[in-house]
Amino acid sequence: MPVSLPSHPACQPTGGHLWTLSLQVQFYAALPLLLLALRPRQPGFRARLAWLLAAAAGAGTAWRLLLAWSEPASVLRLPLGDLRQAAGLVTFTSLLRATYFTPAARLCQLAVGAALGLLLRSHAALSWLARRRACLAEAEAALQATYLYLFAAWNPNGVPREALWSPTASRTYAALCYYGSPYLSALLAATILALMLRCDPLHSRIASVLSSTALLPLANLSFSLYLIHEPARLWALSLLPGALPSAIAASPLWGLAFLSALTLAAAYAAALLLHRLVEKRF
Amino acid sequence: MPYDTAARLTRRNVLVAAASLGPLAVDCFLLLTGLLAAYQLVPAPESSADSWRAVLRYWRRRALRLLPSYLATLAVLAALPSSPAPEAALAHRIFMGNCPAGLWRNFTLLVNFTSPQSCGKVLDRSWSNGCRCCCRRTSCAPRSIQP
Repeated sequence: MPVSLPSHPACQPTGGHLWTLSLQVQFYAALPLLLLALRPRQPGFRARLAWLLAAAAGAGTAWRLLLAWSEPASVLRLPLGDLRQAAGLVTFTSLLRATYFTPAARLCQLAVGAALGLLLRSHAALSWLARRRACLAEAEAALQATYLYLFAAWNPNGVPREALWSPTASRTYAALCYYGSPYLSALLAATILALMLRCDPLHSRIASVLSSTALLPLANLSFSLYLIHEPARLWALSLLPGALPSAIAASPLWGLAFLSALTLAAAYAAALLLHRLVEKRF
Repeated sequence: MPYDTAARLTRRNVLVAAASLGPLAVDCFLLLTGLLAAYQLVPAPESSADSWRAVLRYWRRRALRLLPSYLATLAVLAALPSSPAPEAALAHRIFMGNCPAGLWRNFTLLVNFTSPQSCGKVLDRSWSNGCRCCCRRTSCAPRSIQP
């Protein structure tokens, strides 16, 4: 398997799949302080919070645009190419730097989520939305149709010899449509609301399945699973030396199926252990 | 696997495309983080006579929920041995090559700032498209290796 590795000494992996937990903890630390600063026992607290969250979503979007436009136009050119080549890797790095890891790049997403949480605490807002279930379902369907259109026509994962987009299109997509973007935040928020309000028979059915008690054991393992899945995959690969390269050589799809099954089995086994030995005790 | 094959599979096979949507799950996860935090936290300082106490209780609950398992996972990362199997050794080098020396970054819970610089997590765009690292703005000098 050909692999690209940066030679810069700063590139030193340390189980960094845990970056989202770092972001979560930073958010958990900051949000309560923000609420206290808004004087929660004074009248109008929730209105002030709603305005602040709207401003945060706007500021997060503006920050993503600023970051995308601060990347050199010759570097941030989508779609992504072969990441084993230097040019493809530099573009990918540029895209991540502008959109992915930092709290500022994720500010819009966290603010939209918090706004949704605030909305769910308001009976008046919920009643207002419940009377407009059909509108919500239509808005969600439009956002999902846009997602499918973007996936088909503006997919950032390129195929060989695909023409590069213009710098403006690349930057706009990175800031507004790539992971962590306001567009995806709106799509996910609309989907969650449509499921919670059971906007139509399909959403109602999906919501029933998702809230089934049969899924509860899996849900209980979710945090441990998130923490331990990468080490578990490495552990499983080392237990079956040569199996993955053989599967990929036989058929790429078989390789995918093998890797997925192996990862799931090893990750759930390790997560069960971690849950029972540590998580459950606190 | 050749890049051409992997790229075409990622774009044109529904199963492979679905398997490459992990970052969308991260988006969903972070949105739910905001939702649940606000949902749990907003009423407490409103109704409590001592808002600080409500906040401290929230922080304590969050710490007990997250940190013990997180610390146990860091211990596993520190102890995870490298494997003689080439593919596992390669994956270990890419995903966790700096363990345990770089674990201080994880302990500080600032790994989302240092990760792009220190290459903590390699984000797979497609499952078999090779492995990729991220690096600093101007010093990315990848070299291909054949394990």
